[in-house]
Amino acid sequence: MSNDKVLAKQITDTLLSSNLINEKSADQIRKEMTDGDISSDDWVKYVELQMLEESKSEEE
Amino acid sequence: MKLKKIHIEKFRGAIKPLILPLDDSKNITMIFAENGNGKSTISDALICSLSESNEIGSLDDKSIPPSEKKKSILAANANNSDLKIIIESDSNTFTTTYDGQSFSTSNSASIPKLAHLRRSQISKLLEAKPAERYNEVSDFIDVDNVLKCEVALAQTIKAEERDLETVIETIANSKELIEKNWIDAGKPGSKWEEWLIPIIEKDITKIEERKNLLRDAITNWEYTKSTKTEIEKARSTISQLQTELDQVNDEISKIGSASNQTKLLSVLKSAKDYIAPLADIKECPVCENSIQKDKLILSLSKQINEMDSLSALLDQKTALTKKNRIQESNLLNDLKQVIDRLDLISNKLKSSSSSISDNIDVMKKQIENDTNFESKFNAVYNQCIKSLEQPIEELITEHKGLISEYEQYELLKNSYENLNDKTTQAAHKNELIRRLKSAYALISDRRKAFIDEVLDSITEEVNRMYSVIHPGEEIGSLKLFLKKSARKSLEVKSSFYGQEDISPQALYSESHLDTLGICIMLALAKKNSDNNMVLVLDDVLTSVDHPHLNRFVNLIHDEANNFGHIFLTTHYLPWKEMYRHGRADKSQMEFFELKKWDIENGISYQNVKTLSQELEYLLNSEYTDRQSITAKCGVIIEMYLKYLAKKYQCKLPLRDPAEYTMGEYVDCFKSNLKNQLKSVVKISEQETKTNHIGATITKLKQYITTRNMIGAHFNRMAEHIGDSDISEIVQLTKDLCYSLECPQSHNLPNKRTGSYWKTKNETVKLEPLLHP
Repeated sequence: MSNDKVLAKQITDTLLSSNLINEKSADQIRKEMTDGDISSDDWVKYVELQMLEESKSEEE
Repeated sequence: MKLKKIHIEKFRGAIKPLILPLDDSKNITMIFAENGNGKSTISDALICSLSESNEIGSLDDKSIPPSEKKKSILAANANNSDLKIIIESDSNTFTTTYDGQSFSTSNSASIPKLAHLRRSQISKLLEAKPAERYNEVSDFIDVDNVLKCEVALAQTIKAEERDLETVIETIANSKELIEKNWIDAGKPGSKWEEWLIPIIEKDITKIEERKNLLRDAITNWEYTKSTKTEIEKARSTISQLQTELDQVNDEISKIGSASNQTKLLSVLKSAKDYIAPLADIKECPVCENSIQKDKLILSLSKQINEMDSLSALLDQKTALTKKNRIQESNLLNDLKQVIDRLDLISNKLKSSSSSISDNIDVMKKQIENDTNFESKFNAVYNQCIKSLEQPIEELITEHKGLISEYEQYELLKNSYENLNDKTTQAAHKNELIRRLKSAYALISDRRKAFIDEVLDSITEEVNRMYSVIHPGEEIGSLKLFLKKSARKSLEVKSSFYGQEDISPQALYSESHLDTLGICIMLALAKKNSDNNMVLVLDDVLTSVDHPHLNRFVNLIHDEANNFGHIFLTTHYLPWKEMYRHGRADKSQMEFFELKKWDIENGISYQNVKTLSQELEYLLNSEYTDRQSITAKCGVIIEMYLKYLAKKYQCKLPLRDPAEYTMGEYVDCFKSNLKNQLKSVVKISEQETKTNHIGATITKLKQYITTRNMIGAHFNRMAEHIGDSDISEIVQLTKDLCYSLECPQSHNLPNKRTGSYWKTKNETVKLEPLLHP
């Protein structure tokens, strides 16, 4: 297993447990991070998705 | 991944195809050669073929222009397409070709991982600056893809912060605009919100409707006004046409004073038009006299032509009359349009401006049955429109006021909405940036911690390996860590006789630095190997003393199973001799010795033999060379007697250098040792053989002279020694070899157990453990 893959998994797990990303996008983030494919727009998209999910659950 | 065959063709020194068939059962391949005979060609071929980063091996170390480097890749007089490297593994075949720029290898998805270390890398690893040092090990510790995402995240934060600044600026501008309007309005209420909200919440529909109604009325009004000029222009044209027509009529009447001229021309034209198409007319349809058609047509044409000027005037009259009629029609139409527009104005303003509507209605009634254009025009423009000037001007002023009121409403409303939208957006962005920053800090910390963890685990392994090579020496305690202020800088510190955290390159000897560098690379490669990596150590050892060399070699053997295949190249003769003299484990090792390179044959090799294999070779050759055979036996006997004497600490005279004769070795074994000295050799899974080594040593005593006279100091006395004596000494030598060497690996029993010595694979047991 490559260093990137191992580290991407560790980081994704930590981001998830810190509620900075959503579970729905965790696999995608892990994969894209392993390949070095997360762009600036992607970061905004992933963090905003978590914010959106939080506001949805607050409304409920 | 175990490699099975290496085929190198037209690559660097491989002028002729070099094929190295590798032993399936051994995962260490050693290539010994003096410098310049092709070691680096072989290791570079592996690097060019299996490396991911298009490296070119040892040429990367040389400070020559890139174009020359590319040329040096090819063997002398070879073309790009001639170059071929084929590597067969236990599961795949990888064929590498060269296009003059880069290498490409088939089955790229299955290429095994490769790590390589050359001497130049050791010095870079330990003596270079931290950033360059990092580069040397970056393949093993890099997390470039994660770092790329981390950098993208940092850029995202900066971009979002810039966006937030713009949003905040927009909020400030909107607020400033509203406040300015509030101040202009005389600051009604205690704060601008109290003034603004009723304004933007009021119903603007009526204002908008009135504004639009006035806009339409004004547009129609402007049309009627602008059309007046057009109509006057058309009237002038009509008047001009009438004048022209009058003139034409005058001229016609002058020509037609013998009044019938005009009628005659008409009759003549009609007669011609009537007669011309009739084919067989014979008599005049009027007087019924006989006529000749052609003559009559000719006569008619002649008369008509003579009356041409009259004809032209008649045509001009017709054209002018037509033109005049069109102009008059247009004029009437234009005026009708104006009246219609006035009618529209009347309708629109009926409820709000009745005086305007009334005036228009009066005008409409006035011209209702009037067919005279002039009186109509007069009624429309000179009476009606004139009377509307003032009231319409008032409407225009009202319209302007409404526009201004509406625009201010729109401006305030948009500014307020913008203020609210951007305030929400700013709150969202603030939260987004906070989270992005948290994510960045977390990723950055985790990445650094990850590399530190990798380095820590490697550090532990390096220290373990280093202590294997340098046991009991007060050096080592290596520390590898990232420089705090930089992303890619590797620091290295170690201890030296009580001094901690020193730079090893400052105090360590060259050989200590060599072994430290090798241990670092070995530990890094091992961590990334997954037991599958191909490891190439190209001429990494230059000067190491025997004890350190022994321990280094043992370390390589101990670590071999962590890799798919290890390739070692060396020009260091003591390393080769260790294997040849049975002092190092050969069970995992295959050994090639490169012959002298030459321009015709390129690289060629021979398998290195142990001394006992060399003896077999001599015995199996067609010609029996008594001297060579006996000499070889003597070397082997002395080697093994020395081995046993050391093992049992037999007494020999103290001498410098500690070199002894065969006789001295034979005599140093006491009878109580000889009585117990035996080995048990496992010949097959079921069969073992017990060898009484003591008895062999005793017998050897009789053949010391034979060995000396034939094998060491050949003289005429040797002529009296028969071949049977030579056969006997050969047999005793073989007995010693068979008693001590592992049948497969030729290793010696050097592993100590509770009561005996044994080989690593337990094929040979040697007793006793200690001298009785």
